Amino acid sequence: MKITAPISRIGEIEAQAAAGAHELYCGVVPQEWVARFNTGAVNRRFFGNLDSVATLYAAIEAAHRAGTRLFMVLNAQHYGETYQTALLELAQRFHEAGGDAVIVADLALVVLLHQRLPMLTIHLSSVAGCRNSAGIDFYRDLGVRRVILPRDVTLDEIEGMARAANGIELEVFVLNDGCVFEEGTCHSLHLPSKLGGPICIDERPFEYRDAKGRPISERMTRKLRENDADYKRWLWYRFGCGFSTTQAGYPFGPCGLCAIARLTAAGVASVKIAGREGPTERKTRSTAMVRAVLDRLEAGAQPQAAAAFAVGLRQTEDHCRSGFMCYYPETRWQADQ
Amino acid sequence: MLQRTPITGTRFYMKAPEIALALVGPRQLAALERSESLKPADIATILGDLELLDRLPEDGCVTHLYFGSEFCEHLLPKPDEMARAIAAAQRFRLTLVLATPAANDTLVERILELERSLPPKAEILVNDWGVAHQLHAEAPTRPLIAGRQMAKMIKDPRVPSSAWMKPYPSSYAQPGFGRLLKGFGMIHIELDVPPFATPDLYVVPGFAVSVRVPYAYVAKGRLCKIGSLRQPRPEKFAPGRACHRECLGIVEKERQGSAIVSYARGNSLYYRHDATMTHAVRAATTAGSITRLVFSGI
Repeated sequence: MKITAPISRIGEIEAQAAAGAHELYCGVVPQEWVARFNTGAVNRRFFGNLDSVATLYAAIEAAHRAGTRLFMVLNAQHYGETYQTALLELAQRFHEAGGDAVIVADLALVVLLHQRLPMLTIHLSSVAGCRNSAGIDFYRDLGVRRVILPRDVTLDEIEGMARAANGIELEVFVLNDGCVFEEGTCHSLHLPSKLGGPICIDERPFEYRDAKGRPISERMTRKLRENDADYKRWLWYRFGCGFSTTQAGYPFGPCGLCAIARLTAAGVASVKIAGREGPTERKTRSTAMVRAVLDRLEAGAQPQAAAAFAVGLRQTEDHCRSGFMCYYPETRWQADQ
Repeated sequence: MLQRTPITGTRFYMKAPEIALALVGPRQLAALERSESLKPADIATILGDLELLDRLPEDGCVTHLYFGSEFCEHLLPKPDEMARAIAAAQRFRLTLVLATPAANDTLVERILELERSLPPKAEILVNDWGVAHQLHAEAPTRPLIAGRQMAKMIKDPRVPSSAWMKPYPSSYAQPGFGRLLKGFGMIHIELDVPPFATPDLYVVPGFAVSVRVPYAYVAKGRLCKIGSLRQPRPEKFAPGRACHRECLGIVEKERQGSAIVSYARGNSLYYRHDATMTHAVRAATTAGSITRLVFSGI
């Protein structure tokens, strides 16, 4: 089981490798891209990117020196046709400089890259939303070597897809950052806060209506409002518990540490730590947490003991029992464990 | 058997496209079963949306019946519901279209089972590349329509101008995307109407284009707020849980204040077309770019 961790600066590479990452991923916004297209939209994030191709080259060297592989994200849901040539050029430069894989969501771009750069390793981004074994077959045919599964798949589903993957590697989320809607089927923008911010936490007032548009009963409204309160609490967990950390710097927020034993047994190739835009310490402490749990398991710890260790790392029994912080609530920490 | 009923309600579409009625759940299906005809008032009644009368086309006949959900794995029709939909479609001499969502392995199997129960000319609306791949392998002659979740574009109803969407044109503006669909024999796509839509969006060479009226979807999740209503707290907002389909009876409507009115039903966000969007649909229909209008609730 490999740990795939984010970087946004060259200085983070050694620290992430030292914390236990095997694979790193980054984005880049070349200066000529901004000049040509008047946008920084090279991938899903406007921030948290390397600032030039020269820096990208240096990052590849630094990653390899540190014994890790480096992946580059080109993971917008889709790109306009005018971007395709520039994306191909960027991928080619990354590949020729020794970059290890690109992470892509736009299927037309997957096809283009595989046709024009057949030796380039392509990982399918979680943004593509692959949810079944038939999808894995299809993406294999397109030249994809690894599929990063979306958030909000169950462990049973992961195990089923892993059994049918037939040589395609699977990567799954293990820590940090949780979209509320599925990334690949959310057609909104993260607008500036004065325009509402991300649509999933835009608190515009809604009212409940029945199927014919009429107001609903007070009793049902009360139940719905109680459910709304739970949902709001779940949203807080989904967004990193307010992006808070323990005193030791370990981040709260969406977490799959208790599921690592099952993921390993299923043959999942890699666990992904999200959060390219986060501060360096958040990234390295995330990696250290995952590494510590993996080390326990590799040393022979039973899954429950490893899960207890994971919960103890942050001393978050209440959070862990809530189920709201879990990527895989099937392995939610129980009081009697 | 009832005859197809020409629609003669209030109109402004000049060219007659195919007309479809889209139903999601058994309650709407029962309303169709009770109906004696498919006049505009019947469609508006079945969908619970009397304002639809202003948007129904002049010369069109209802030609297609959509049944199922594009957005939720819990709303895939059960076999008995599918059989009822098939019977209703036959009664009104409509071509049936099974709407399907993104699917896990279990749901893919259920979709394949439903496919085997469909009449030969029935179509399937797909929103998952894996589902398309498997259907094409196992039922290569079955007509498939690429659903709205396969069509990437920005549809955020809050953006203040079209400039915000410029870096993200429709994925169908890329010829490579269309070639992928044609690999599955797909020659029919379904598109939504984004804010500031213009008729040229619907010019997609080589493809027939359907458009949903009068709602567009913005975002779809797998975790569902209202679907968690009856779950114990730790089990809420998690995938793979049972669902009591509360969304079929309850919707969230945005209180007044926005130019475009938004809704939430189940795991998805929607908005109702405004005048600019309606105009774009009308113009593209008149020009022949839109070949099917799918009248649907949310």
